[in-house]
Amino acid sequence: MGNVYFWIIYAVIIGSAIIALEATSLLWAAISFVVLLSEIALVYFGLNMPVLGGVQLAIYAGGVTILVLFAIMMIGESYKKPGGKAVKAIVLSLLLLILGTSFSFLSAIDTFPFKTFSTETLGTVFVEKYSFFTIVLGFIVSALLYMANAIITKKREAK
Amino acid sequence: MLLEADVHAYLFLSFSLLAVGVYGLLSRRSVIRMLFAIEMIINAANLNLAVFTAQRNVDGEIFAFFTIGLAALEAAVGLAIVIVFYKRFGEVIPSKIRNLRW
Amino acid sequence: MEKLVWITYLTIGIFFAGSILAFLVGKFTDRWNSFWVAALTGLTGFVLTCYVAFNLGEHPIVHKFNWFTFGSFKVPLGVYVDSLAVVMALIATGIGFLDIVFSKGYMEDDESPHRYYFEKLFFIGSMVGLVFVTNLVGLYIFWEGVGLCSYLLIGYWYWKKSAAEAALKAFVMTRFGDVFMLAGIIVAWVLLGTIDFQELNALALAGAFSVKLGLLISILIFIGAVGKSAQFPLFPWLLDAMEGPTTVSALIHAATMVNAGVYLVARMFPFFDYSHALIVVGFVGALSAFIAATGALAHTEIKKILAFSTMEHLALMFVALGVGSAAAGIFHLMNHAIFKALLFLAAGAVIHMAHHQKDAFKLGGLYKYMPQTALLFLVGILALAGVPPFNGFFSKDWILAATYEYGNPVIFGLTFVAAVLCVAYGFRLWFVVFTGEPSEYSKKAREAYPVMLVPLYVLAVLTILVPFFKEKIIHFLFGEIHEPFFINLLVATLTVMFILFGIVFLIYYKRVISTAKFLANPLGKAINDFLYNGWFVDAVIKWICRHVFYGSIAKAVEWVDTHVVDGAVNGTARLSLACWDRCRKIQTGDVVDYLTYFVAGVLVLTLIILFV
Repeated sequence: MGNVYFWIIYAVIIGSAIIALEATSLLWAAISFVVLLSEIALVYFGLNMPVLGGVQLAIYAGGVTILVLFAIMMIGESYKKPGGKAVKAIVLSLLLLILGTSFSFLSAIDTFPFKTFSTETLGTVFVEKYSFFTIVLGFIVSALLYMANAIITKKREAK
Repeated sequence: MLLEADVHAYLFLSFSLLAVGVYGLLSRRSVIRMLFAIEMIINAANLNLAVFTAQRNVDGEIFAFFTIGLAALEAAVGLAIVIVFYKRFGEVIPSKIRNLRW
Repeated sequence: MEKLVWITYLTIGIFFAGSILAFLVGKFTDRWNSFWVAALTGLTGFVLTCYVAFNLGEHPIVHKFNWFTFGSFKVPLGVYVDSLAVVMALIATGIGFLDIVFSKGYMEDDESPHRYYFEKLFFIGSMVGLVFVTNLVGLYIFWEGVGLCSYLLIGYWYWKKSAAEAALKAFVMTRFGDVFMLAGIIVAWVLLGTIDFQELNALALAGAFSVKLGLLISILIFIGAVGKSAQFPLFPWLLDAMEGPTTVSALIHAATMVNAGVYLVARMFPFFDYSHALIVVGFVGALSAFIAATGALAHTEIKKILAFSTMEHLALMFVALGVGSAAAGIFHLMNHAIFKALLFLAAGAVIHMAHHQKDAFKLGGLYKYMPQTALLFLVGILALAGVPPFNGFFSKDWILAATYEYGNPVIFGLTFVAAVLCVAYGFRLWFVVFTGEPSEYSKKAREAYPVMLVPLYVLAVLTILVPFFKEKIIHFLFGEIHEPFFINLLVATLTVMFILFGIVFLIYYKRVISTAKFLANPLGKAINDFLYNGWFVDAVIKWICRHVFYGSIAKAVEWVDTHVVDGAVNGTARLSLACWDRCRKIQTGDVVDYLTYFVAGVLVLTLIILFV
């Protein structure tokens, strides 16, 4: 079992995933989706795979999200409650979860430890080597969040 | 801050993500949400690849690259379809469009 | 390959090639050009057959090859030409040629002579093939070939309903016999391992198989021969076959094709002899001869009287074979072919000139208008009746003597009555047609064309010439054989014939005795009807077909067809329709539903992989 940091990341991932599906505003759902993908990138960094994490950030959190935003722009976001045949879906997904997890425990997957990779080291590396990119990325993300919020509030007011 | 977990924990993470994705895929009525769900499922699979690569030092990582590339393409095409879909039918609710059923 | 073998194959092939050529020539140039092609082909074929006949030495011409092979199963084919085959081929090609020439006159009003000559040459080719082949499979092929031509030519005037029906009847009735024949061939092939005539006969002479098996095969093959040679009970088709052109009746239904059955029995004579099947042949022949002779006595149509007469003479040949005298049978076959072709062609001339009036009693006094034809017809009648010195006398007397020597009273009695009745119905026909008061039809008639008379003269001369060469012919065919001779039988036959001639002369020429009183009597009328309709065999066959085959078996088969076979087919459709109707309900067209099925399927598959 993982330590507390792992479970925090777990909670963030699953939470953002659920928000991405359940949020009333499509735009907030997209932002939540970006958070989900970035957290997964973080997991990759944690698994000592910085290149994969970078690609995940660039392609998913960058490219795909922009596409999604463009699509939302073209369609026009909706605030309808996204309903559906929830019962069947919940049953099936829970079945999958239980089945998968129980088999991961029951099967003969050995649990020898990973090479530990500290996120502190990662942070040091980011600051030392990629600080410029990190700063630019940080600005971009914050700008994105701000603009999204601004747009949504404006739309709300217009309505 | 050490991210310490064994393989079961990671698998639990990826299965949870898969379950959420499947739930979304089956319950949402909007195509865009369904695309989100599909991406979640793909990411769950990618996570598995990464986890086992890290654990056993095998070359599973490269598949994760391919998968990311393919998923990006799929998202691009899928979203293009969504836009055409919207122009054609004025909505993006797939359950209401049954043209291919005779 | 030997030269004679080539010529043998050429003789068969030239007729088939000529038939197609005649059709094409007639189709693309003037229609009657096909006549010249046909006549040339017929003459060439006849000359080639003569060449084979004169060069045929002590040994027969034999050539055998494998037609096709399927694994270890081989189908042999080949030619075997001995004196018997060559005589049959001479009859077929010679009379065929004369018939082709005669047709030029008879078919003068015809619209499609190229079709006629195509079918005729095809027939002659099949007939030559039939007598030349070496085994039963080859014989069966050509046997069906002549049957097909017979069908086509009977139905030549296909727009006439009666002709089309007669053709169908002939086809079905002969085919009925052929089915049994095919069964016989298969039994022989499977159980005896050979279908070659010479090998079968050699096996029979060596006694290599049981008599019961031989009897089974013989009877099955004999049923085919009965169908083809129009014997009891499969003869009604021959009477209906007279719907075709008279030239066709002369060639196919008198001189050649109907002899195929006799030829087959003669060819397998040692086999039949060993199997004790000859007694059956004899009885069937005697009964058929009696039925036919009495039927001819009562009928009124020229061609049907001649058809009954053909059946009677074929029956006499079967009797001769049945009592063990193959030589008499084959000699009679040859003589019968000549004089019956003469009679039929002369009858054709009469019918053609009298504007297709076939009822003898509506003609009369024709002697005045067509004397040459009348005299030639008389020659034919004399030969038919067996009056010396015409050829019919020699062979018929021989058959009677052989039957007398055989000693079975039933066969002898029936045969004797049938043989002497020839004179009665023959002269009755001649007197009715050629003497007496001319009717309106007769007054329009005139003498036949030279192209029709020449073949008749050739045949008439042959009927007189053949007896002079009797010894040579018999020697050529069979070598030295014993010929029975009983002077008292001869005297008795001639006396009875003379008395019968006297009675017929009084009734039909002098007309001092009237048949009207006899016909007025209900019993007399019943007897007349009975004989006229060929002992109602046709009606019985129809009744059996309608009530036994159609009423029960065909109905049962139909029931099975509609309820089981069709039921299965329709049931499959209904079942799949029902399945579809239920399955289509899961095809909602909603992609989310499909995704649900997909995920559920993945789950199930995972469970199966993990637990099973």
